[in-house]
Amino acid sequence: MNLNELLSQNLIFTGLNSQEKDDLVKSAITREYQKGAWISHYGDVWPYLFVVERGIVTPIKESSERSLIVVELDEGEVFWGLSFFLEDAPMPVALVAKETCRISMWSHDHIKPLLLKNGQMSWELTRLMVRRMQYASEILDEFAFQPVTGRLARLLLEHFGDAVGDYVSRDMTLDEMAAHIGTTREMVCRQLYKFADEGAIQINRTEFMISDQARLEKIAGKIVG
Amino acid sequence: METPPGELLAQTPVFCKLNQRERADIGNLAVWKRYAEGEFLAHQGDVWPYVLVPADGQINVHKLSSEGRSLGALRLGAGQVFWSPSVFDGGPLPAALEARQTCEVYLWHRDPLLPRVRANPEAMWDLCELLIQRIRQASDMVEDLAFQPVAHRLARLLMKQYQETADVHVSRSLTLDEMATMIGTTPVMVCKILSRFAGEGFIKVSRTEFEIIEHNKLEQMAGL
Repeated sequence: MNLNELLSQNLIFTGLNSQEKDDLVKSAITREYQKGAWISHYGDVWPYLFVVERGIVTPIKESSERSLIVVELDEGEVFWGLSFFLEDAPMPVALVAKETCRISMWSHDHIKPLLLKNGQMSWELTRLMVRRMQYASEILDEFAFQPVTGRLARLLLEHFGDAVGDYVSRDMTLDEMAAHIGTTREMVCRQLYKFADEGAIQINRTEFMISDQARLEKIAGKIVG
Repeated sequence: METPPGELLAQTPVFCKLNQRERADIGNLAVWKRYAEGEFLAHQGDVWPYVLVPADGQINVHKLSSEGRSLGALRLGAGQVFWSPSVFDGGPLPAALEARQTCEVYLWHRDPLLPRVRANPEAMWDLCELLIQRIRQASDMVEDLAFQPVAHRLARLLMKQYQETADVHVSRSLTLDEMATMIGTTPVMVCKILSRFAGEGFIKVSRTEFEIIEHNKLEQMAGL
């Protein structure tokens, strides 16, 4: 799908007329990134709004020892640097290409006049912000109220839903699992063995199976309440 | 009422971008309410399509777990505007709104308000900035909870209170429950860590105040 088609399908841009959309496509700064490349670093002042044209971009929070994958942005999704809205505000996350990807971005100076001219565009942008805030709120719930055990059980159910009663390939490393639930790889490893001892899962070096879905759901259910 | 809604709106983000006549018009739509301490304005999970501006008092915005624990997300004082997420998507509130003390508030239902705000591009840009600030606050909280141990978060809370008064004698204006709510832990854990800080000589704890003894060590612990 080309950029014009992507914009036409995104609610933020549907209020623009064809001329405005064409201008936006022409003025886009397009960049390609290899898997693992950094698009922006934590703390950068990065005043852009972008659309993922191809591939997946992951916003990642980092501490000196650990990282946390907040969300994954797929084709057509819109994201921004804080300083696009708030002058000189640093990035609260790093942006990394999860796989080879292509993004189209625009500076604050380029998009703001369009937002001021087009009320529908700014309304849809506020609605997207509220959805992102609701998502951040769910993450807050998990970290404030739910133990690592429950967060890991939920991740396994969400990510390995096809593995109920069948072995599937382990396409997620311990580090990646740890980054998704905000803990260490050692803790993930320990909990996985605990789940295996309890009969909820079976795991070996390359494959994974949910052997007792109800038990795993119960562990995850405790955290849902 | 001490402050008429029009005057309050002139100092409030989003509304300050409207002209005086538009603000007066919106001021006329305001519903004024008074809440007693501890009373809920809205519960977590309610669909509550209102914009709120406290005229007086304080409101706690906090999240609740099924086991009854809570996490303070925000504290709203006079003039600090709150746009409920339900205004934008009709969805439920992800947190409860509770009067921390007796308060007086102005409320606007989304239906008459939104067309007036959406008609003003500068007000809409201001709304984007306001929401981005809220996202940043939520993001900072996620970062704290994901990466920082409870002791670090408690040290930061104590330092913040100290910085507000610039006095080593910090009045105990927050209960253990409130402190736990503000840093996402339990009152028992707060109590345990305060005792640890006291044992290590960072602070002295009395019934009415904390005295900060080792300012530098507490600051270091808080990562400031």
